[in-house]
Amino acid sequence: MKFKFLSVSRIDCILIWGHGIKYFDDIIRDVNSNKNFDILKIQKYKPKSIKSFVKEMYSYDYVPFWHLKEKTKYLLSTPQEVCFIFIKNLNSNEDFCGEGNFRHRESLTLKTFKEKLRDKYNPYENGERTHNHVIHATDSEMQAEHMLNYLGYDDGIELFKSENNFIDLPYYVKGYKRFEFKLIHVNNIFCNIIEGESWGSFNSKTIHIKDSPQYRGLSENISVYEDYIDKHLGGALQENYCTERYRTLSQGFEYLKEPYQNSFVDVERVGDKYIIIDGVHRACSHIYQGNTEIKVCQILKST
Amino acid sequence: MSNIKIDLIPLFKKLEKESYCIIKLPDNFPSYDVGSDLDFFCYNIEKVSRIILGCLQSDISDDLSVIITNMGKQIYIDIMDKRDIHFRFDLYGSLPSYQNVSIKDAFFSSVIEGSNKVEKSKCIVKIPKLIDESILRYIEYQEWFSERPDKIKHINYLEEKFQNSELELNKVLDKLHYYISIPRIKEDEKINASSSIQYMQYLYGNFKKIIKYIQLNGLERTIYKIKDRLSR
Repeated sequence: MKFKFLSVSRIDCILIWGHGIKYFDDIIRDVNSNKNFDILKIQKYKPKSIKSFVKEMYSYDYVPFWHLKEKTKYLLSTPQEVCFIFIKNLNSNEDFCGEGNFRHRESLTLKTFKEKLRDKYNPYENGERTHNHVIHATDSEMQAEHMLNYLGYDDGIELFKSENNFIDLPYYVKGYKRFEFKLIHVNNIFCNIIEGESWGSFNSKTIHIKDSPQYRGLSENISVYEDYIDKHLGGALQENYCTERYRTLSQGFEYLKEPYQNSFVDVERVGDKYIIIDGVHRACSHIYQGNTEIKVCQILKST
Repeated sequence: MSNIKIDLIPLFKKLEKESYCIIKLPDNFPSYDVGSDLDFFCYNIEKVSRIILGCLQSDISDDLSVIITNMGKQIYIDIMDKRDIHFRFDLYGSLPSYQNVSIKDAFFSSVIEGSNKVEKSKCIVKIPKLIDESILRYIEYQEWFSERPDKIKHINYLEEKFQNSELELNKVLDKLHYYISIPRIKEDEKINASSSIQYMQYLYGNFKKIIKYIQLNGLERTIYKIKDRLSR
């Protein structure tokens, strides 16, 4: 039975357990290819104790943890590295599942998708899929909220709420009240990039946009960009970066063309430099086409 | 100053489906005076701002920039000619807060819901009903006249509408009194018991009135007015 009052879109999380991390790229690709989901945040994490981490993750489950203890035993021997993929579930198709005390609300869209991923990536024994699930998915938005709180985001799902909706600002640009939309020369555009050996070890550096891996991915070889993403996705880079999407975006790209007329590259001015805080890919695509100027949205700290 | 000219016609075409209305629409609309503004009442100021910005972005150049200030229930969109404001869109998501008049919040939605589409030089724009426009002008006069005598223009506007029978006074008063109340003025000024001091204060008050009248109506009309009073 369907309940029309149940929410249409909601925030969910897909958690890749340690033994599923080797399928990280494939799982991200699968999520991206599902039109019901928009990836909001990808965050890799190394729990100090996998035992307490598992308990924490299931503490908001509709089933008491003692009931899940046996079912989750296999997780105790998995590698101590997990990945949270927070998504906007655009068509949650929620319904009530289960019987008696275990009756709960669940997104049928995510449930179906979760089973597909498990069919694909769970270990198999004698041709049969085991219950050693490579991924866990949230049943409710409250569980996603709890996961965000666990990672230190006290605002929970409010984290993903954008401010200033007259422009396409990303959710992490908050607290600004004044914006200037202007034309600036490419020579003044800089961006922050990540340096380091792995997702867990990095530092940030400000460079000219034409020296960025995003620009060099277009002007030299796309593998420069691919290596950069592979190394840092889930670590310092938590947005939904994807080589294939970048390639598609840059081909025939027209900056600020309808329906993206409000998708400005967002910059912050530091001295003479305009440092991009969102839109490096768009800026690179625009500049790579030979444009020497770009219209930007400069965020201003005070009125 | 450069030769900036914003075409408001395509912008208002894109706003056709939105719930908004323009308060005190200037007579020269869709033209405008440099440095002037348009006051919008709208339910969703972010959505309307989004549409306006989407239209203005093609005009951004070395000379022209756009500055948006988001005050929560009010958004300013300033078209800047270098450092000067060329034109401003002033968007309200609720009634402005007035000091001298208390208005029920519901008046805001009443104005938007009651707005009418009018065509001005091939541009369709939504404006309040005459009765709502009159109430808003009266409120603005009440709020600002003590500091800005030029706000008398709103009373002149009302008088003209009553004289031309475009408005019925009793209907305006009915609606006005339904939606507003005038806060009680605190009268805590101590009255001096001495009759000579009272007389001096009376003369000083009249002197202030005369100065104000001269500022508003000129010397000639003031002398005429004084003569008229003295002859009664």
